[in-house]
Amino acid sequence: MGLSREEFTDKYRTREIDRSDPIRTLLNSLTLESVREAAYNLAPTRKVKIRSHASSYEDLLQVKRSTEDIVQALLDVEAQTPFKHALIARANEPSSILQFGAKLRDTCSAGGFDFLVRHFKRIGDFSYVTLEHTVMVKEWVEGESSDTRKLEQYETRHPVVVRLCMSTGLLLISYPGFTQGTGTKRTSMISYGDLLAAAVKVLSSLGLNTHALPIRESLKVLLAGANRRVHSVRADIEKVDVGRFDLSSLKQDRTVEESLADLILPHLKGVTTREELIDSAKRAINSAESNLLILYWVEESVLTRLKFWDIGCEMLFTWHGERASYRAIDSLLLMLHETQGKIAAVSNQEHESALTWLAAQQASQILRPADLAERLQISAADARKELVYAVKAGLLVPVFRLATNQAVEGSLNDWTDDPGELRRTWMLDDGGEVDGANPANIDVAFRRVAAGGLQ
Amino acid sequence: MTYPMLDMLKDMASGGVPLDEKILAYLSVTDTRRLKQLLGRLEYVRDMDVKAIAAARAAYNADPAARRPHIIVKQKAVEGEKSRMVGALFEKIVQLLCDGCEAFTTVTNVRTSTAEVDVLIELGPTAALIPMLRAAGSHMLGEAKCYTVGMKTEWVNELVGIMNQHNCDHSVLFVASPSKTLNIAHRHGLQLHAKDGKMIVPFGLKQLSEIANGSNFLSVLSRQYVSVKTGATTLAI
Repeated sequence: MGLSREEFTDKYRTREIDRSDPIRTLLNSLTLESVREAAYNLAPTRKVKIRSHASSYEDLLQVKRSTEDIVQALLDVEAQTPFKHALIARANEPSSILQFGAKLRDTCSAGGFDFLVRHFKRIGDFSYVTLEHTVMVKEWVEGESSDTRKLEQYETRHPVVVRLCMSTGLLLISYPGFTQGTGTKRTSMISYGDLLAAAVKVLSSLGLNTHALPIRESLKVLLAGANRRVHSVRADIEKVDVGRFDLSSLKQDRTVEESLADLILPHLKGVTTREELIDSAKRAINSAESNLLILYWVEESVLTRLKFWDIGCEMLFTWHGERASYRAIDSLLLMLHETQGKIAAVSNQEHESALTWLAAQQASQILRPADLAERLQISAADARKELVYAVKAGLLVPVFRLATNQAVEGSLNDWTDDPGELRRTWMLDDGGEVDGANPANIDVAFRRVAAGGLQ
Repeated sequence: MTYPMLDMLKDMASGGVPLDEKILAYLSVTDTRRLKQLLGRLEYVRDMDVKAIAAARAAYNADPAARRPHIIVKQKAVEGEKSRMVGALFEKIVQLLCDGCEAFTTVTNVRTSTAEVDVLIELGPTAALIPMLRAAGSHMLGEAKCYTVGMKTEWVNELVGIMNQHNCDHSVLFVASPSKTLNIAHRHGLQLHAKDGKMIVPFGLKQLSEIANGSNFLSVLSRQYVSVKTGATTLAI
């Protein structure tokens, strides 16, 4: 059913271009909180109240600054808030982004898209570039009478923010996504894949060459066994000569492997335990080619849908209880980046990477630095670093006990996950004492995370 | 060969691995029962009706049968007495939190050549394991503002002045103001000083009640620190 003119205007105001006023166009793109932030940045000493989105234009003029300054402030705020879609890649030469400052207001075309270089800013280790293009929206609305329909069309502004970390070269091409309305023919629809390919070409033509970050390899290691940092809640996988499977757990705190195990286990006639079945499911899913993955990042409380394209990995972020922030995105990207670096560092050597070996260990197995040092023939210091990194990657948890070989009164001195249990003075067999509150008296090992032990 | 926990904590700190709740609980233990008691007393004292107390004392003193008349009778004087009690209770709360933390050694009401510092927090060797405390160096200042009014940007600016005089880059502003999400002016004030290297972490009744209900002091402090650094809109006291 067609929409009335009023419904049309209300529903599709977002990002509409107002050719007569650049400020109005930007206000249509931003949230009320962002407009308030911009107003404060423009006039910190004035108390400019932005009451509502509808009155934001008039309210913002109270800062008494030039149109150019206001536009700049709004673009600054827009660049520093992540959108829900993002392409992850890596820049070959991060410093080449610095020349974008001289290319402001240039229009660059690629793949049928015209991108305007609208904004450039460098803050600390990060550089931000905003490219924008227009998207035509066509919508059927009610005509003069209720049985007629009229095609209305208008232009929307679609910003594509490029955020580059200068030290690591990690590149995030973030965009909000758009709708083209029900009046747009299917053949004229723009795909996000084409849009990103064009954006990458434009960046390349301006001197910033990028390449895909091998996220799939990092994820293969991280998801090889149980992991308490990240787990998959939906997987669309494919294996040649076997078939294609779309598995979903429906709950954030359960992995697809656990759901699969719970489905099959009651019908299995054998001695297989749930943990073994989850472990097997994990390995089977991990060895297949994934078309789509939805991961839940426990620490950041964010769901990410991953699509793997030749230009990079596209992520869709869904925030759960957390406000969208680059901090959380950086945290999970840095982990994927570091993991990839660790895998790549040993790919040309004879032995496997420490992470790959640790990921393959049995659930609940206790691992000590000496085990890893012997296995990979590395120094004890390096083995410790690898184990600590595996804790960060969610593969291991540290376990503790008193650093003594003597019998301890009232305790078996077994490994425990909670060092707080040891935080008191213990009597030893020989009459001596050991202070459990002193971290120097506590010995540490690591336990491989068990399947189903996500909390 | 053993791997002492202290070494692991150092490796975690250098590898940028965040400490989990269990490790933080090992490094900082708060007597939550005592904290709840003190918070209850604080609330009781804050809610006292100064006018009614002054009137009751005046009435008692007027009674010829009164054996020991009250010395503090005038409303202003009673108000002063109430402020002193609130201040003393708040100081005890701050002391309780810091005493439970392995990394802290505290000295209260330190008279320096230029000012009086409410709490001087000296940082021990384990402080280097916690990101916020690692950046703080040798010491931090703790400033307690026991007023019932809302938080003021002036408190932050004053504290920066005191920090400059005492070669200090990090401090904790303990406030007893009503709990609220800080507005943009406060957040920007804190963020601007943070950009100049002066980190002030506001710590209010909201955080105190979180700790009383089982959250870890270091974990709550770290969260506030990150919120100040990032200018998060969720920063509250």
